Formats: sequence, structure tokens, C-alpha cells
Amino acid sequence: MKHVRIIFTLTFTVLLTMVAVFQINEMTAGTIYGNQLKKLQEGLLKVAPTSYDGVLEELTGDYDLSEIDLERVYADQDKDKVVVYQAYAYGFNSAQPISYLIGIDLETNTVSGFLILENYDSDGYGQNASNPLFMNQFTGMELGPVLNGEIDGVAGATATTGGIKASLNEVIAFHNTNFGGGPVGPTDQEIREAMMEDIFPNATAFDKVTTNPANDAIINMYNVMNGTTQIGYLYEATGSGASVAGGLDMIYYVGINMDKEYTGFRMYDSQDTPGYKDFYLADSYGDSYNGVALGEEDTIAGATAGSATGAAILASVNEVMAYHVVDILGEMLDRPDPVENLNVVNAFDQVAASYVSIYADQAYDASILNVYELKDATDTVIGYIYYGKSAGYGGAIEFAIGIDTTNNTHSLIILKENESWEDAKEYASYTGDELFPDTTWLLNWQNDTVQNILDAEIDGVTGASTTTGNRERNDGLIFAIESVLKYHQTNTGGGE
Amino acid sequence: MARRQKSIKEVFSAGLFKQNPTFVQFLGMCPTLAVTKSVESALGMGAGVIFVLVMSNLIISLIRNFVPKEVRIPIYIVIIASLVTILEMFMKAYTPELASSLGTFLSLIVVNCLILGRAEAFASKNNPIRSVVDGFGMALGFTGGITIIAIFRELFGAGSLLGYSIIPEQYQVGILVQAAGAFLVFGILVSQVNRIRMNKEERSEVA
Repeated sequence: MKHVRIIFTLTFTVLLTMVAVFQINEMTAGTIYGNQLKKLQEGLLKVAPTSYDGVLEELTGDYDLSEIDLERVYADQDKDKVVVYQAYAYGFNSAQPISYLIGIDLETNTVSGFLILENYDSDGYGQNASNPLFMNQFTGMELGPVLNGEIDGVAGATATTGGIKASLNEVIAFHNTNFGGGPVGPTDQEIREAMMEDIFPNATAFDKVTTNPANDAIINMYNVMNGTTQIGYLYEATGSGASVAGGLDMIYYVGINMDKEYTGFRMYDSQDTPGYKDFYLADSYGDSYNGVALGEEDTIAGATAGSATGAAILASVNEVMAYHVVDILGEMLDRPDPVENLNVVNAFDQVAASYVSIYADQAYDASILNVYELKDATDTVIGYIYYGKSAGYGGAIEFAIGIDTTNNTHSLIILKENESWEDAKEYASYTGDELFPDTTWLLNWQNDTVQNILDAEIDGVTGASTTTGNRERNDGLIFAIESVLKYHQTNTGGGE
Repeated sequence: MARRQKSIKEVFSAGLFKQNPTFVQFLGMCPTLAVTKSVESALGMGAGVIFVLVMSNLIISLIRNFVPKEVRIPIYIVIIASLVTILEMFMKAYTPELASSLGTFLSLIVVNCLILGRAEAFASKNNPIRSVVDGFGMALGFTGGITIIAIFRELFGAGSLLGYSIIPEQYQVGILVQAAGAFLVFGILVSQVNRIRMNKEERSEVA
């Protein structure tokens, strides 16, 4: 009997209070919803751009919001001026999420306002996020930094601001997917076209040459037209930058006119170190190519900080230039007369009876200043001396290497340099005390067959990578000397 | 012989002074420390507690003879929780600003010891009129207590009273509006209340 009474009393109390709560809820629910809506409406006006005074339509139903913490989406009628999102962030008090509004000005693609509607996090801590100082920082921000969470947190509200950042990341990603069609800056195609037009301002058309140029460095080649007249050639090319991560480290455009002069250069993409590469990304660097004759690339000034990048660019441009001259124009490059240097004789172990320059009869190579044929007293060829050059850290390096008729190298001597190998001593891979012209690194190239040396793939010296160069980057002494050795194999006959 | 029953007047004044929930009984400390940042929210919380405590004391006193004593506490809690829910709905509907400034602490009135304490200690043993008077007195004492704390915190901490600026910023004691400030002000006030009470007791002993 007693149990029945207990059960009855409990049930009766619960039922009665349920009815009471239900009735009051009926009475107040409408007003509460009205209050929230009023707050939301006022909020919408606050986060929309000040210039916008139209109506915002709710578009929530148009999107699938089940996967993200978005509650409502509003936009102007034409969806081209403003979008406002009402979203949730899980701060410290995860049971009661923070509700906020973020407005995005579609004309500038920046944040027009940020407002926290409900924040149940602790007073003095998470509640600080509702401080106008925190909320106002968003106004005018670009979307990229917001997406990446580059937002100043609030002391004491680490968890709360962390939750807001995470939520904003989702919201901006959603925005980029659904409203990303707005003016977000020039497209990739527009950037490329602008560069091409910078290089050839008078062009009326860039006719892409459809057959793929047989050259690793060249991605695309265009015949540049002004009406029906061809005014030049434009190459889209690639090369390894100073940061050799392998693969396509930089992509650039370079133009050559009908007078065998460069018309300009534009770096489209470079994976090199920010700060170092900036100089080469600037239009001023690209414009410095204007009017430079093919073969005179050395006159194009690089930057002191980032000289390796500059050398890598020039090495790649040289490849394009060589392709252009040999394969497109079908000729040898007009070049200065072979440079004479009497000191080159020391590169060959034997004293010859005659040293005759034969370079004028041979193919051009950007790394070679002159080629001497050595004969003994009986007029028999005993070998060759190659007078070469490469770009170093302190300016041009000139060297000479002797190769005999059995394809054995004699000495590699440095004739001109302004390098400081002192710095390289700090690095583990260079242990010698010698200064540059006498460094033991040069011995790698001496007294061995050309083929053995090429097969050995001699490494550069850490700390002197601009001087010694880098095989993947095609620059420095490694590139120049190997060019000479290959040149010897293919052009001079090398006794083969 | 049964203890002499207190007069209605005594019942009422007990909550205000002798058994003040805030300074003497230390009941409902959570809101005492949390919502006393501004006088406005203290008064709002006080009003809420007055409503819930008067109503719960009335209802519990009315049903005190029908409730089996084994389940009395669950039933009190159901009633108090319903009253708080109702209060929350009303506040959200008609005073939304106050509701949002009280935040979670509005719902937390459910677990305010003062309310269950008075239900168990008084309403379950007294008639409805006395219970209502007790509830009103206690709730008023609580409201007075937290309002006094709030006056000190808002005036010296934020330099304002009921939102009106009074003290310029350079003379404000910022820590008072933070959580630690609540303890400081509360501790100082309790010490003063105790001093007065002890003086009074000494005097009555002498007399």
C-alpha cells in the first residue's frame, strides 16, 4: 500500500509539473524566438558592410549544413554583395556552444564584421572573446588569414578563441566553395597572360607551337605575332632553383625578339626561399633583360642575397637560349671572337709547339670562351685546352682544363676568380686549408678520363655551393666543367 | 513542552538578519560569487530567487502532509526544477538581456542550497502562510546580501552603479570585477558582519 502511494505521488508530481512547464513554454516560446530573431536581425546589420543597406535573405535551406557547425546563411538578393553566416564554435563550455555571426563583403572578399551572439563561457576567461577588441579585429581582414587562423587570441580565452578559429576555418572553407566565384583576384590564366603581355607589349597574338620542343627546360613555345608579322618568340620554361627539391622548381617566361635580343623575363613560380627569390619575382628584374643580346646574359644583374637563385635562372635561360639559336634559328650564335689568354698553357702538362684557337669553327657553348688545339713539333695534335667560364659567388670565374688525345684530363687551373672559400672551412665537407684556386676540390677533375669524371658525378662543396655549383641546378663550376667535358666528347672529336 | 513558535515577524526578519543566507548561513555561494559583478545582475538573480523560493515554499508547504517522507527530496527537486525552468522561460521571453547576463547561473538556481534547504527545514513543517513569509524573508536576505557585494564590486571595480559611471578609470580596482575580487569583497564583508554580531552578543551577555 505504501509503495503504491509513493509511486502515485511521484507520478502525479511529475505529471503536474510537466503540464505546468508545458503551458508556460507555450506561452513564452514565441516571444523567446522573437527575441532571438530580433537579436539576430540586429546582428546581421552590424556585421554586414556599412555600405550595404538592403535586405538579407536567408538561404539556409539551399545548402547541406549537416556536416558543419553552420546554423544559418544569409545573402543579399543577387548574392554578389554580402554573405552573413551564423555559426557555432565549441569553446571551453562545450555543452553550450558559442553562437556568432560573420559577414563577408563579396565585393572586396574581406570580413565586414564579426559578432558573438551567445557566449556561455566563463566570466573573465572565455567570456573575454565577446570583448569588442577581439571581435573588431576581424573587420577588413582578408579571408586567407582567417582561414589559416591568423587571429589574435585573448588572454584567458585560449580554448574559446581556439574553438572560434576552428569554426571559422570551416565557415571560410564553406564560403570559398559556395561563394568563391566572387572577385578573388586574377585567375591563373590572367596572371600568365599578363606576364606574356609584359614581355611583348605589342603582341596581338601568341601562337602556341604545338609540337613539343625537344628540350627539357622548355614547357611551351609561342610565336609572337603583331597582326600577321612575327615579332618574336616566347618561351615558357622551367629549371631547378637554388633550393633543389628536385623537379620543377621554377617556371618562367622569357621573350626573344627577331633581332636576337631578349625582350623581357617574368618569373611565374619559384620554390626558392622567400626573401631570396623576391628580387627575381619583381618586374624590375624581368625588365632588365630587355634589349640584352643573346649570349650576353652575364650582364643581367642578380641580387647579392639570392645569388644562387640568380645563377640558377641564368643557367636555365642559357639552355633556352642555346635551344633557340641552334634548333629554332638553325645557326651558331653570333659571339665575340674567342678570348685569348696566354696563361691557359699551364693546363696541359706538356709544352706544345703550337696553340691554335679552333673555337670559331666549333659549336658555341655558353661555358666556353675558347678552344685551343695543341700540336707538337711534327704537327701532330697532342691535345686540347678549353678556356671556360662559370658564374661564381664573387663574379665570373675563368678556368682552363687540358685534355689529351687519349681523353685524359691534365690540370684544371683557375685563371680568374673572386671567391672566398674561407667561409667554406666552417663546413664539414671541406677540410682543406687552401684558398680557392688551390683547393683540393679541383683535383677531382684532374688526371682521369673524361668519361670517368662524368660518371663520378662530383659533388659541390657545402658552404660554397654557388662557386662549385650543383648538378641539378645546372650552375657553378660543376655545370661549366661538365659542359666542357661533354663538349669535348661531342664536338672536338676528342680523338674518338 | 513544545518550543515556542516564532511569530510571523520573527520568521520574516530571521532571513533578513539573524539567519541571513549570504553572510550567516553561507548558502548559495555559487551565484553569490558569480553574479555579483554588477548590481543589475545581482538584483536580477535576487528577483529570480525570490520567485522560486516563495513559490517552492508555498507549494511544498501545501503538499507537506501528502508527500511520503521517503520520496520527499526527489519531489522537492522536481518542483524546484520546474519552477526554475518556468522562471528561465519568463526571463528569456520578457527580460532577455538580464537572462543572457545571468547565463548559466539562472539555471543553476535549481541547485542553490538555500531553496532546497528552506523546503526541507521550514516549508515541510510549517503552514503555507508562514512558509511564504519565510521564503520571502530568506530570499530578500539573499538578494540584499548579494546586492551589497555587487555594489562594492561594481562601484570600486568598474567605477559604475547600475551602469552609470561614477568613478573615473584610473581610480578603479580592476581585480574586484574578476573572480578573485568576489572572494576579497565577500571575505571583508563577512568579517564586518561577524564583528557586529559578536559585539551584539557580548552586550547581551553583559546585560
